[in-house]
Amino acid sequence: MYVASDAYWLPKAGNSDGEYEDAFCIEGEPAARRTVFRCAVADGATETSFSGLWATMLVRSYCCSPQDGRDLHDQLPRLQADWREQVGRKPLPWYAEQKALQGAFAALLGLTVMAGAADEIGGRWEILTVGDSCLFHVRGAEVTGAFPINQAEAFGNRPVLLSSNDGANDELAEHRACAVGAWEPGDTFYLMTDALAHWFLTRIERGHTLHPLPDRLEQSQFAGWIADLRRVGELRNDDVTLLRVHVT
Amino acid sequence: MSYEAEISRVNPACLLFLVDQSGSMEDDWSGEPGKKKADGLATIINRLLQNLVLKCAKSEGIRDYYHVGVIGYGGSVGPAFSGELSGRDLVPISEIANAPARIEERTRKVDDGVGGLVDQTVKFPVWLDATASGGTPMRAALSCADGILTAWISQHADGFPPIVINITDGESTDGDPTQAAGAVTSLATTDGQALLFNVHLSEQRAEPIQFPDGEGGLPDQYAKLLFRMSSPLPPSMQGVARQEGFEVGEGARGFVFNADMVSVIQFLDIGTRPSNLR
Repeated sequence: MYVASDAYWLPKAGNSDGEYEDAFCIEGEPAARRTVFRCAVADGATETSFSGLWATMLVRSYCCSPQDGRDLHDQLPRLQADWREQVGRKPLPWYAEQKALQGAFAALLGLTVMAGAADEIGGRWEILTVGDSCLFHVRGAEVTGAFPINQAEAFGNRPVLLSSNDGANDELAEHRACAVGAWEPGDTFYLMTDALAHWFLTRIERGHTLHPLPDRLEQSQFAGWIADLRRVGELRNDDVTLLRVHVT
Repeated sequence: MSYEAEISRVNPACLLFLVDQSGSMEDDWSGEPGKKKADGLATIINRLLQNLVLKCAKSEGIRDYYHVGVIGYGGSVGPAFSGELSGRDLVPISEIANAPARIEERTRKVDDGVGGLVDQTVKFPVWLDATASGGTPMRAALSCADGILTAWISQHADGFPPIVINITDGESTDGDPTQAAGAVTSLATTDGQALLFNVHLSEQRAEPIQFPDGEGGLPDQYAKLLFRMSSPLPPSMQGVARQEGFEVGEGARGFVFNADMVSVIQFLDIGTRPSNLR
C-alpha cells in the first residue's frame, strides 16, 4: 500500500504558535510504501495547563504503539509519570502549582491503516478515540464514515477527555471508542480537531458538496483559508489541526 | 445573539464584586454560632478570585481573560482589595494572581484512594479580609458600579457584557436599591446588557437555594428583593449550568441564597472545559 499524508495546523486567532495546544504525529515518512501506517491528532483542553505537552505525549505514544493504541490503558501510568516529571522540573508559582494538580486533559484520535493480503484490493483501518476529534472516511465525493461524532449538534464544550491525572480517567472505558473498516485504493481519511470537524459536518448536513483540498497545499494557504472561515463566523475560534491520509 | 462575544485577551470580560462590609456582617451566618457572615463573605470572594485565576492559568503564566474589581460597602464605599492592590478598582487577572495580600495554608479532606479521607494542606491566597462596620449603602455601591462599568464599556463596546456580583445580607440602609440596580443592568455592550447577580447570606438556618426561577420559595422580603434585582441567566449560561448539574428553569436568575457562586465562573466560556475536570 502507498500512503501519502500531510498535516496542517493553526493556533487560535490571537494566540502565538507557541500557544497552540493541539498536537499531531505521523509515524515514519509522510509519503511511502508500507504495510502499516499510523497517525494521530490530539486536542489539549483550553481550561487546563500543560495540555499541549500532554497532547504531544499522547499522539507520540499512539504512533509508537505496536498495538495501535489498544494498550492505551496500560501506557497511561508511564505517560502520566512522564508528564508530572516534566511539569515539576522547575518551581512554579502558587497558581501554576494548583493548576498542574488538576492535571492536563486532551482529546485523542489515532488512525492505523493496514495493507491487505497480497491478493486483496485495499485493506483494513481502525481508530481509537477519546473526546471530540473526528475521523472522516471519504471515497470519491462521498463521506462513508464519520467517527466518533456524526452530527454537528453533538459537539459541546464539555467533552470527557484523557487526563494526566489518573483519578479523572474513571470513565475512560465508557468514553473510549474504537471503529474498524475497510479501505479501497483512492480513499482519503481526514483527521480533524473539533472546531474544523464541526464545520465539516455542518457543511455536509446543509447539503454542500465536499470541499476537497488541493493535492498540494501550503501551510500559508491553509492558514488563509481558516482565517477566512473564522472571519465570516463559519468556524469557531479554536486551535485547528487537519491530517489528510490518502491510500492507494 | 447576545452573551456570545468571545472572551479573550483581546476582548477580556469584566467582573465586579460588590461586597457588603456593614456592621450586620458581624452576625452569625446561617445559624452557625462563631461563623460570622463577614468571614464567610471573605472566603467566598477569595475562592472566587482563586478560581478565576486558576481558570486563566496556563503553562506560560496567566492569560488576561478577565479584569476584576472588588468594591466594599459599609462604613464607606470603595475598592476593597487588601495588600498591594489596595485602592484599585478593575485589575487584570494576571496582576491579581501575582499580588495576593498573603497566602495562607488551610487543610481540606481528600480521598486517600482506599475509601478514606486524609487531610491535605492547600495554599489559600487572600485578597480580601473580613470587615464589618457601618450601614449597608447598597444603592451607593450600585452607583459606584455604574460609574466603573460605564468607563469599562466605553473601552470595550463589543465585549462580553460586564458581570456584577453583589454579596450581601440583604438589608439596604440607604433606600430601595431597585432603581440603582436597574441603572446597572441597563448598561450594555453590543453583545447584551450588563448582568447583575446577587448572593444573599442570611443568619437564618435555611437550605441553600441556587438559581431559582421564581421568588415563591424564598424565605424573606430581602431575598425576594434581591431575586427581583437579579438578571436572568442568559441561555448560554443556562446551558452550561445544566451541563454542570444544576437544575435551572428557563426563567432562572443569577441569585443564590446561603450559597457561594463559584459555579458562575464555570458558566463563562473561554474554551474547552473537560467534563471530567473537577
